[in-house]
Amino acid sequence: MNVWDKRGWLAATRADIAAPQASWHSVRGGWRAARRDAAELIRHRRVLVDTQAMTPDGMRTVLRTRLRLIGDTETDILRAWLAVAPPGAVMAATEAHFASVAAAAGGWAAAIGMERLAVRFFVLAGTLGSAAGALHRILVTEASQLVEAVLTDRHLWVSVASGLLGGVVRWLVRLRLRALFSGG
Amino acid sequence: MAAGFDLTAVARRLLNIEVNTIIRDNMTAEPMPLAPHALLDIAGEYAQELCTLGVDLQAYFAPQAGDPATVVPGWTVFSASVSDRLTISPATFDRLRWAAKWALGAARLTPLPAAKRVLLDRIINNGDAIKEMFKRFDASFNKQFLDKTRADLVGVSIEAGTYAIPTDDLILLQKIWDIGLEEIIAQTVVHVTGDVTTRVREALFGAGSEAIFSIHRQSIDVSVNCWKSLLDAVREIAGTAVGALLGGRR
Repeated sequence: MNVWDKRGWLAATRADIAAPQASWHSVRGGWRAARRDAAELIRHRRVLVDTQAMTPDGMRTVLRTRLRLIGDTETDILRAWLAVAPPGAVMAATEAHFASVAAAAGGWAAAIGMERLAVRFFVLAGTLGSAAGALHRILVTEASQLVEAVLTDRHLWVSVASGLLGGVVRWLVRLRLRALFSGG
Repeated sequence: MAAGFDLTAVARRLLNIEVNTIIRDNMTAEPMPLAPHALLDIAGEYAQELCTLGVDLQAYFAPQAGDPATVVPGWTVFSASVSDRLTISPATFDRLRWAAKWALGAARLTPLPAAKRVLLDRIINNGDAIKEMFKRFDASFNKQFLDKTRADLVGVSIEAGTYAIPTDDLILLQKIWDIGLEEIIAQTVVHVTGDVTTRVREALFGAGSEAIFSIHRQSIDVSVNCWKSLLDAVREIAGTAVGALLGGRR
């Protein structure tokens, strides 16, 4: 299995939109929970998800998953629960548990997806704006005055700056994330 | 307290992931204590297990004990506790790993259950890993805690900010502390190259193990998805250098 992304630009963009959306509607409690889980992953170097169920000794944690920053995962199962719970109840609890785990792990995907979307938005807006501005200027300006007209066109330069802003956003987000990691 | 984050080290660790499924008799919400106490917890649990198996640990921890590699402790019905002699030091983990090594060798003559042999292997491997960690602990850690016993620690207040441990060591220490000597019933290792290895305890081949397999399978699915996100995040944060290490391109 190759974990690297070989998707096209459009598919990657769709995935980057889907990640924050999934995070927003997650069973853990939306974007706030995703942000909290992402912060926990950095602070404690792991995310811990517990699921409780009724056992012969009362309500207890029966499933616990630890997702570590290095990618390792441990799932603990409570023996007493597994021994007596009906198979249907085990399956239901398991499904719910791993839906929570997936949501807890989604915070990073959402953060990175949003960063890439912001970069793409600025680059795309800048490129389209610049192209449209340049084309308009070429059509309405005499050839002898074209260079001066382009250099003094504020709208054109705003579009170029918008495109460059994409790079700045990416750089700032990277700095922020690196600082968060360093503080872990 | 973690030292500055080494993204390259984390990226290297992300080249493969390990998914473990464990059945426990109890689950407590107790978080890992600060590193000095965690090290003593681990040493204490390993020593307890070796004593329970009948290894005479006194032979390793007696003041006149020599090179632990040459000690021949023998089996004993009642193995006295050595908990008051466990210290935060490479020597403690060296003695424990040699005791486990002896027990494994001696088990050829006095057979041990397969599950216990796995635990002895874990004590050896983790003992060696922890000994290596000591080389990377900063001077402040060693100055404050080296050769301290639990009784010594109880008398002082430990402040996390006064020492630094490399983050990847802290993650490994946390994993060793979390898993302890619990029996791993299913383990899958997924490599970035695509190789997948699954080990399953023999006891799981019977009826009624479908639920456990289902839980392990779902754990793998979630882990691989999380792994992709983590690889993506590290590559995004660290930039081209780590991206090249991981071999990815976007």
